[in-house]
Amino acid sequence: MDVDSFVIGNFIYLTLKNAVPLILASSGEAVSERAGVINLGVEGSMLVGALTGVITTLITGNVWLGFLAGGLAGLALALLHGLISVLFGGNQIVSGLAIAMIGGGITALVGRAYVGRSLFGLRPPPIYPYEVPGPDHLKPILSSVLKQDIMVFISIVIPLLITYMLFRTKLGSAIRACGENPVIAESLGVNVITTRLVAVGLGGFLSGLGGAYLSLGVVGSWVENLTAGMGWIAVGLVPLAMWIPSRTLLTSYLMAALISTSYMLQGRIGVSSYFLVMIPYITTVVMLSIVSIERFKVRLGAPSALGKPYIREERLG
Amino acid sequence: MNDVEVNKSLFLNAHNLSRPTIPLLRVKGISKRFGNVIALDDVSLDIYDGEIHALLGENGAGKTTLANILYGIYQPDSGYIELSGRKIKLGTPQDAISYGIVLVQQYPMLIDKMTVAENLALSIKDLGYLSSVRKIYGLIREISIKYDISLEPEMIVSNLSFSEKQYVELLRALILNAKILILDEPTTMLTTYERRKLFVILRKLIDEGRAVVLITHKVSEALEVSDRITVLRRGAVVSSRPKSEYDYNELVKLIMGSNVNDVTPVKYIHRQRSAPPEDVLVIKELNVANDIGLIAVRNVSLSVKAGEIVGIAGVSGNGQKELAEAIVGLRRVRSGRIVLSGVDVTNKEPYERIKNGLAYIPEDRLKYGIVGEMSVAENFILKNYKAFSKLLFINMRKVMDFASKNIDLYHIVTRSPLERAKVLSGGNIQKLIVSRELGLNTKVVLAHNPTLGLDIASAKLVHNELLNVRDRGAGILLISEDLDEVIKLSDRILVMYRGSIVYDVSRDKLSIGDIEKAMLGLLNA
Ligand SMILES: Nc1ncnc2c1ncn2[C@@H]1O[C@H](COP(=O)(O)OP(=O)(O)OP(=O)(O)O)[C@@H](O)[C@H]1O
Ligand SMILES: [Mg+2]
Repeated sequence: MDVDSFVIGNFIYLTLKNAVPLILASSGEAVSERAGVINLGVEGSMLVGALTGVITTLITGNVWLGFLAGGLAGLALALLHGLISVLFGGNQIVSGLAIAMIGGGITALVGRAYVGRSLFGLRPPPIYPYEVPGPDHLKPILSSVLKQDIMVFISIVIPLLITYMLFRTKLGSAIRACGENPVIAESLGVNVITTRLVAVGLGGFLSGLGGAYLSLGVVGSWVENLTAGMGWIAVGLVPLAMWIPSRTLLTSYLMAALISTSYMLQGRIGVSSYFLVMIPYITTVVMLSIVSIERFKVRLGAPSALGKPYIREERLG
Repeated sequence: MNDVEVNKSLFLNAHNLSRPTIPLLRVKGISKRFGNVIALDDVSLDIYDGEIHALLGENGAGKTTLANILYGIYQPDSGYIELSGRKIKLGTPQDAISYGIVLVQQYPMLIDKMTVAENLALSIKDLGYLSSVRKIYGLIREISIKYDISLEPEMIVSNLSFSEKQYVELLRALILNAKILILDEPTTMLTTYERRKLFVILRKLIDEGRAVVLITHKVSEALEVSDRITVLRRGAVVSSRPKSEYDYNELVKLIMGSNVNDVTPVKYIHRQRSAPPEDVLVIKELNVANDIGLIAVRNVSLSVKAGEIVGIAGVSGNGQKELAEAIVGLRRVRSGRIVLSGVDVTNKEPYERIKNGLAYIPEDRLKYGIVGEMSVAENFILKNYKAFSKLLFINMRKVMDFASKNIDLYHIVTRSPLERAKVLSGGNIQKLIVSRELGLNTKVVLAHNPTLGLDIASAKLVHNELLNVRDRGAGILLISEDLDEVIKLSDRILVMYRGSIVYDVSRDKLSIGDIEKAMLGLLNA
């Protein structure tokens, strides 16, 4: 077998897979931020989703129920963030960090019993379970796509649907209005609290789903702190995607490619593997610093009321 | 409407004085306090269909508070509201809308980054949350055509002029099929032409059997367009009668009560100077970008002499905001120079400019004029707190005395000098800022729409103060959308259009027609 096409096939396979949690979590976070709510708890929602997915799949023997349960767990944790920051008008950053920690803590505790439990035979099946056709040297590349499970393709459709929702429908207008100016949104007839909760909830569901994919689709088991910062990277990808969910496809694939590269280079070149693993995080930090410069933020289209709590019956001016 | 009803409403329009016993909307005994401030005190009034009902009152009289209660934004402490004889509860704007009551707020309340249709979609209950916004394009076009409003559903709100934004709000009311439209000072920022056009539309609306409540503090406007006038003073109704029963002077007296004698007429005298005085503000070939990086001020050069008022007229959104912010140092300039009393302050900190004698009366009062969370007293001394402090400590008694004196002098309505500044009414906030800025030893004043939303008395007070500092030898750059104000006060008048100064005339050669043309960009065409 041709080594080059094997490497390329492997790279594509890994990239497509690794991108799924990033796409789901960051397009979900984009919705939440479009409504004006930063949810730094993405990492927590992903962890909870990952563990709940594993447990549910082990109990029911059905991986799809596992995904659903993972999403719902992520949603539940995000709603806790919603409760604190939207309903009670608490500080979004503090609340989000707390959620991230709660997610990490709970899963470490509950997950102990599940560490290493194999999901053998329970993982999502490839869309093309047969022998891949075609000439030998193309096989690895073809299989890198055909041997993926359906979630890889669903994760491409979801950001597109969300983008349509956000920029074409009334719900999308309501969400964006809450992120631009909640006082005006309310006066136009939007229920800001409900709308923000819906957006945060949707973000949480997608983060949970992304987490579940990480455990069920990528790794195939539960380990403590399975996400290893994926949630934070996802949050960082949102401004890069200019808060447009469909663009998170692009940023997530780029980031996933970087992650796959750093995996594949490990042990092959004379650079410490610690450094290689750091690359995606360093990239995130650098890019985040650049886009947080106020001028860039405005040009990238950051929601004006991002991070600002909304409290009713304030003077309107 | 069946034939009988049509006949009835025609009959009513023809005989404005013979009213049915049941008004469309009855406000009964409404009171509302904010802490110790009584914003509304036992207010009762009746609003009839087919009528424009003007609500007059000076700054802080409670007009906006009443409007907000009718729109479900605030809850009254006591009293009730009846619609066609039935008591209703207005808990939220949604409730109000469902009863056909819609408020067009003082400043357009729209999301700038979204399109006209997206903004309007938010208010339409019948449009499902997952339906496409495009579904209402047809409806928007239909209504725009009917009322002769030139707007397209895909237009982005931030690209619209102030009056266009107001039309979006009107469209909203019409799409919601409002039976009662409340407009909170809709004409503040409009040109004469735009105002006329608005009134034509309002007439059309009441001819359809709707009721319009027009909030204003311009007596002439109420007399020009309304059918019935209610005067509010300090939160209480002092009079509510058909328009024909009032005359101008009586209305002024009713609005101001015992304060009426305090209104010293403004002496708009423009002195002849002997020696040409020096320039206190010089701007050379200034280029400034707006928030999204587009050039908003193009090659602007101008100078203001000591003892002179230079007025910049223009329709809002033509670079005035960016120019003002560049002069005070809140916005960087791309190129060009700004010189204050001989000192080049281009791209220096605002502090450098204050030190060189610049006073600023900002357009956005809440953002740049006051620190809303601080007390009224503290806001008075923001710029010269040093005069009130010894070592590290501020002498609060001195501050309170100073504040109380200013509060009396400028008739600022506040429950105490310790009240948070942001809860004052718009007019009172402006009085606070003007008294602080012009009380200083200023050499240059930048005044941006200084009387926007002020009542007659307050506006005159501001004008008087500006003329006083001018007479003390300060140079004033007055940027205003109120053409009358520019003409009354300025020694020289410039017109800004699309970022450039397109017209420059001294007071004795001015032609209002040319200025208005220049404002619309028709002069050089
Ligand atoms: N949210 C609030 N908190 C405290 N005080 C308030 C609040 N809203 C209004 N007030 C006070 O109620 C009074 C009436 O204010 P309101 O805004 O209704 O006046 P207005 O007639 O609309 O004046 P303007 O012409 O200046 O807009 C003012 O004294 C104001 O300080
Ligand atoms: Mg008002």
